[in-house]
Amino acid sequence: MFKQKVLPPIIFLFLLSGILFIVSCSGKNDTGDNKKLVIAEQFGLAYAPLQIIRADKILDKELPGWEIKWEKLVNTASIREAMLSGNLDVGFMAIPPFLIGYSNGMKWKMFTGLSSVPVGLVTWKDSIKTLSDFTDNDRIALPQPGSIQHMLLSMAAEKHLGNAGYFDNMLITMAHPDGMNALLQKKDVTAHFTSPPFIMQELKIPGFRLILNGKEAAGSDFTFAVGTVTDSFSSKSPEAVAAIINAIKKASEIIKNEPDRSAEILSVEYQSDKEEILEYIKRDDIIYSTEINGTDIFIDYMKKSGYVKPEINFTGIYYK
Amino acid sequence: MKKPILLKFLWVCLFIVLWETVRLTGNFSPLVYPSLLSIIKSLFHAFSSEGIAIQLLLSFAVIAFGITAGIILAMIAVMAAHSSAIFESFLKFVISVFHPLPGIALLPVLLLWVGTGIESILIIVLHSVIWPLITNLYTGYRSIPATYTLVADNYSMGKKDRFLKITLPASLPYFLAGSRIAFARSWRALISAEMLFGAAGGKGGIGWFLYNKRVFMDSSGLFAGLLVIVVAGILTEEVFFTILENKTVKKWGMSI
Repeated sequence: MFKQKVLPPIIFLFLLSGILFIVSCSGKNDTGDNKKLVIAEQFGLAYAPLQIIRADKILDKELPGWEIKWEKLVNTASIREAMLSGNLDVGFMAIPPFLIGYSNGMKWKMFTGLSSVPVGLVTWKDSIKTLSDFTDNDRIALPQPGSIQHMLLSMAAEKHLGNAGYFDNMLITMAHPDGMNALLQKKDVTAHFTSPPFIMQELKIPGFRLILNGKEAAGSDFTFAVGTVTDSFSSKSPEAVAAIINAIKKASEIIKNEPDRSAEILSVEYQSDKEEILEYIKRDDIIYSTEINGTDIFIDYMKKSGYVKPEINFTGIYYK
Repeated sequence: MKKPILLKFLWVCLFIVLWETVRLTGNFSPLVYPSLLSIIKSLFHAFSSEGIAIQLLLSFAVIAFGITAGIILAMIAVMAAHSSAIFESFLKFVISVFHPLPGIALLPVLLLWVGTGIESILIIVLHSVIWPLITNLYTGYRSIPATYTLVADNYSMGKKDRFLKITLPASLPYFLAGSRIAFARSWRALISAEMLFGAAGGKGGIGWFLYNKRVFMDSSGLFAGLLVIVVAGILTEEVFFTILENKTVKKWGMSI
C-alpha cells in the first residue's frame, strides 16, 4: 500500500477547528461585562419611539455608565436569530414572530408594548372588491410568512373564505419599501399587506383601495409592535429593562407633546417629508403605549391553525 | 471500486459522530443545534406531509429548462461566432461583462423590469448557465484537431454529417465540463433566488422550503432541507454527470 503522510492533514484539521472555535466564540457577548446593552431597532412609524430615544439619547440618561449599542438588522427573522445566538439583548417586533420563537423553545419574554398602528391590504386592481376576488395569477406582497401581516391575512381568509391557507401560494416576501414599489408598478403584485407610512402613501394614490384592515381581520384592537428581551439579559439586568420601559414612555410623551420636533427628527431618520410625518403622527389611530393588547387573539388563532404547537403553555410570555 | 465507497461511508459516519459529540458536549439550545434524530424526523415529515419532493422537482424542472434553453442558445452563439469575426468580438465583450455578475445581483433590476413571476427566476437561471456554456463550447469547438477536419474533407462530408459526426463528439468533453459548471452555478443561483422570491411558481421550490423553515424557526427542518439540497447536488454532480462521462467521453478514450 501507499505510505501516507500524516502531518499535513493533522495540521489542516488543527487549524480548521481552531478557526471554527474562534468564530463560534466571537458570536457571544462577553458575559463578564454587565453594563452593555445591545438593541435592535426597526424602521417605520410603528417604531418611531425608538428613533426618538436614540436621537435624544434618552436611554443614555436613564442608564448612566452603560454602553448602549443600536443595531440595524434587515428583518424580524434576523433579529430573532441574533437574540438566539446572544448578539442582541433587546429587539422590537410584532407579536406573532415572538410567539413562534417562544413556542419553539426560545428563552425570551415580551416586556413592553410600543405601538398600535393601522395595517391592511391595499390593491389597485379594479376587479378585486373582496378577498374572494383574488385569482391564481394575483400576487400579494408582505414581509415574510409568519409575520403579523401574514397572520392577519390568514385570519381574514379563514373568516371569509373558510381556509386559512387560501393565499399561501400567492405570497411574495418583500420588505415594505420593495413591496410598495412592486405595487406601484401595477404588474404582477396586485396587493400589498403593509403598515405605516407605506399604507398611507399607497392609499393616497388614486385608484388604490383598502380591501381589508387589520382590526377587522383580528376582530379587535391589538398591539402592533412589542419589545422583547432575552431571559439571560433580563434576569441579569432588570434595571436596564425598567429603564427601556421608562424611555419608551418618555419618547411617547415627546411625540405627543412636541409633534413638530419629533417629526423633524423622524424626517431625518426616514429621509422623508417632515409635513407628511407630522400629519401621520397626529392621527388618532397611531398610538404609542407600553401596554400590550391582543396577544390572546394571536395565540388562539396560531394554535388553532398550527402555526405554533397547540400543547405550548404561553403563560410565561410576559416579563414582570 | 469497493474501497472508495467504503471510505466515503466512513466519512459520513465520522461526520455523524462529530455532530452528536459537539451537540452533547456543548450544551446548545436545540434551536441552534438540533439533534440528528430530530433532523431525520423532520426529513421524513418533509417528504411524507410537506411535499418537499414536489418542491425539489419544481426546482429541477426550472434548472432543466434553463440548461436546455442555455445549450441551444450557446450552440447558436458559438456557431455564429465561428462564422463571423465581428460577432465573435461582440460575444467576447458580452461574456466579459456578464460572466462575473452573480445572478442574484441582477435580482433588483429584474424585479423592476420583469416583475416577480417565474420569468425572473428563469432569467436568473439562464444567466447563470449560458456564459460558462458558451465559453466551454467555444473552446471545445476551437480545439478540434485539424486532422479530424481533414478527414471530413477527405470523405467530402456534408454540413450535417460534419456537425453530427465530427464537431459534436469532438467537443463533447468541453460540453460536459461546461454543463457541470452550468448545473453547479444554476443550482446555487436558483436556491438563492427562491429564498428571496417566495412562491413565485405557485408552490415555490426548495429554497422557499428553507425560507419557511427559517421564519417559523423550525431548525431541524432547516437542517433537513439543507441535507436534501446536499444530497440532490451530489446525485446530480457526482452520479449523473459521472455516469454520463463514463458512457461517452471516457468510453471513447477522449478523456481520463
